[in-house]
Amino acid sequence: MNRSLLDPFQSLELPEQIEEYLDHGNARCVAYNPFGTLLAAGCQDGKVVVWDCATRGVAREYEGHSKQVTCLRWSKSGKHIISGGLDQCAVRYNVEKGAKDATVSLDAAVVSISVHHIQPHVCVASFAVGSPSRIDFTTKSVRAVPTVLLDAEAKQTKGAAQNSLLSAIALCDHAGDVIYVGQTRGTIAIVDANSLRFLDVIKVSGSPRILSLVLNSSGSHLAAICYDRVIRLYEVASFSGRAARRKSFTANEVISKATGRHQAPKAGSALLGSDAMLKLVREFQNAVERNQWRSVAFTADSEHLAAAAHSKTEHIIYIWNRDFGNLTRILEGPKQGVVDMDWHPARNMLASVSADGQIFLWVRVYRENWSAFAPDFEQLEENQEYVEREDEFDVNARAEAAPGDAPAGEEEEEDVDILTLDPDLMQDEDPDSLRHLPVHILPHDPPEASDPDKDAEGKAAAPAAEAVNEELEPSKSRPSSGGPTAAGRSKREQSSRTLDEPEALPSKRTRQ
Amino acid sequence: MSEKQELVVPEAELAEATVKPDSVKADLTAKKPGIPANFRLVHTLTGHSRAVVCVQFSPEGSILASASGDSTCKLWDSTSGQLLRTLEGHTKGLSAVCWDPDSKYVCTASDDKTLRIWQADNGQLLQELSGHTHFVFCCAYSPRGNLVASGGFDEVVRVWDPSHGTLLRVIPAHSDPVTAVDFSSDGTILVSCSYDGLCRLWDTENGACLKTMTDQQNPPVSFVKFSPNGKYLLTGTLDNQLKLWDKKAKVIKKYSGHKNSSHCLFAAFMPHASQAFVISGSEDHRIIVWNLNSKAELQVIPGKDNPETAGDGHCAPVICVSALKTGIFASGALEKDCTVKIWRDDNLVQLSQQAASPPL
Repeated sequence: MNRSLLDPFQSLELPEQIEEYLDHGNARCVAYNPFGTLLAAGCQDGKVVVWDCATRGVAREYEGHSKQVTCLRWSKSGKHIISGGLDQCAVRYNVEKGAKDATVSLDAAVVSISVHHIQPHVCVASFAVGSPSRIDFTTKSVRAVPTVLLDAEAKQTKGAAQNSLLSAIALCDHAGDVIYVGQTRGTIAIVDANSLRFLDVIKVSGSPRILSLVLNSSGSHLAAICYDRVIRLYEVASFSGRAARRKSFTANEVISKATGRHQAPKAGSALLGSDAMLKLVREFQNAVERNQWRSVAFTADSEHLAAAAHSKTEHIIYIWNRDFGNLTRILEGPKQGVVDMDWHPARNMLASVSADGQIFLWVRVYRENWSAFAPDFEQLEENQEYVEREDEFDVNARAEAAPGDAPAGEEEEEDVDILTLDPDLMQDEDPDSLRHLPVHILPHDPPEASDPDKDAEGKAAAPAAEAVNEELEPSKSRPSSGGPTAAGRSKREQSSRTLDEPEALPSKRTRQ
Repeated sequence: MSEKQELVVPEAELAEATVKPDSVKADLTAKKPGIPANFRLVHTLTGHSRAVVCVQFSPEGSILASASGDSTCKLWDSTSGQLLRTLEGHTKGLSAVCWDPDSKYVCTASDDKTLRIWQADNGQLLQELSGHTHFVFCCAYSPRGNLVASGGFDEVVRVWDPSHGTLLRVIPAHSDPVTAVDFSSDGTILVSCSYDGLCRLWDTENGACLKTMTDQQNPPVSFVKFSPNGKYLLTGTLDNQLKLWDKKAKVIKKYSGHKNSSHCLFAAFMPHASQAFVISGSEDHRIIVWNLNSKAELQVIPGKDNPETAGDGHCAPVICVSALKTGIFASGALEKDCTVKIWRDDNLVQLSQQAASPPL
């Protein structure tokens, strides 16, 4: 609702500085929920902490893993969180009930999780070694997602054995049709989500290992972090028919088809040639320092691409313009490496996790709109010479120009509807999605016996607030309200309520 | 009342009522005075020893909270009028009380410069929010229940996190005591008004000022509230007027007939399914009910001069009102009276019951 009153140009700016840091447990990975109202963080001790973005306070804490949580994702409705950890388990939590509702044991430590958009009980987990698995939480079934080696040499016979040593990163797309698998030998395989057969295999030039895959919010672009210190941006070819119509292949068919081509391309689709499902659009890198990338994210409007540099001592995030490829901004934080990063789904805000477990919130510094404070204020961009009117200082002219009260007849006679909500606000009532968590207030003991858990939460701007308050202390000598009783509601000049003032006034007043 | 079903209407006078309970149809109340209001007294709740300054029904309607200058807040059952519990703990008189949207917690604002959050079902004190440097005058809960805004005589608006009791933001809102704060229905806009004659809209996310609404003569604004759909603002000013504004700072409706020149009176919307009412008390001990759209005074509940006089009305300035959309409202008055009265319009209550569960 505030969108109609906001200045449209302000909201397009990129974040500039850290506004606040959240500290509760040693966070290792973060994810915003699809609406941007809650932030989930997986911690070193296996807990998942859910923060309320509006209050920057801890809303919930879930237990599920016995070792560090390495990755977590929200389901599209916001009702479930699926996390993977070093204890080789994938756990699903029910956000509302506040507890885990399913656990699946796997064979290796989980490195990355991607939740199916349409079926929230299905997810794809990627491991440090071995091929990714498609996990169904309702049936507790685990199916391996196939990977394929496209080496021209005769390593095909050892293909099956080789695959188990190599790892791959898998990502579900937004339509729920395909799974993108970034493989060790520099290929991105596109696999049908249901049949787990290959649709396309894209070779990356130079065959670097694919470290991470990220889709933007609309699913139109895919970013891949490659081991050769380049981030490659692919455009997803919008296929008119659904994936089912495309020919799908098994791994052996893929290998034979790929090697059978006359000129196997060094880069691009190995199966479909120019009809590839992913087309390379741009490459991003830091050509000077050639640093490795830790994590990448698209901005909410997909206009920019942000990537966190992999470094132990520096907290640097680069932001490029996606269309033009130029570096727009570099965000520098305290001297701690970036472990994970997530962009807010709706606003230009960013959460990054530092190596010591704190979550930094990057926002754009707000510049006050002075025109909003009074109707006749006009904010000028530069100095303007003021030219006086001829009758500016004439007494007569000004008396005539004094505005009179609007005649009563000008009031609208139309009817006012105070009940129906705007259509775009009705989405809040959508029963399928969970946007906000109900608030539970626990009793807060007086300071002597306060609960230690309550102290370790998001820091508020309390010190700054106190400073502001000092300046605002009213130093006027106007008779203030009456005394300590219900006279708080009376108008200031009411004489019958002027009781002994000193006891009613705060002590700070006398200091001025 | 969320089903959009056809309303089967047996009686003739109900033929005027709208068929769809969820919206107010324009042709219904366009030029007619509308359904007459006929509120009668059902309960008089005594118990406070000093003036009653604020009454609020819980969002689900079963409990009525009343705040008083005797430093306590009492919770009453709204149908039987029975006292449920008393929330004691403040050291000075209260100025306002508000409910959280789930009807679980009550927040009170007091002259002892603190706000307190209580659990409604057992009266336990949960949090104490301190930070204001002068009397806290008004408080409001955000519709998500995760924020509390308060304004006070220190001329600032403070936004708190009630679950942890922490201060989130201080907004230097006005240059005179802040008399009322309210959140819009989606919680993104916060409105505050003050004796300096200004009504300001703030962005809840970052505390930025979005708009300032001011009238020609700048009379001190004593009350402001959003309409249930967040599109309009109702302000009460100390020149005996209530005004309905839209967000473009244009006055759409004006209501007068009551007396409001020295106290900060509350006004209430009663968004009944059939038509919407505006109810306000008056400093001359009366209570006035207007039709929202036609601005006609539908009912004036007369007051009386002293407690011994016969009559149902209050014998002191009626400071506060709070209304349920089913056709019941409560009023509270200042010293000499110190009571809360619950008023009911049987016709409206019956209409809303039929809308909720239409006879098959």
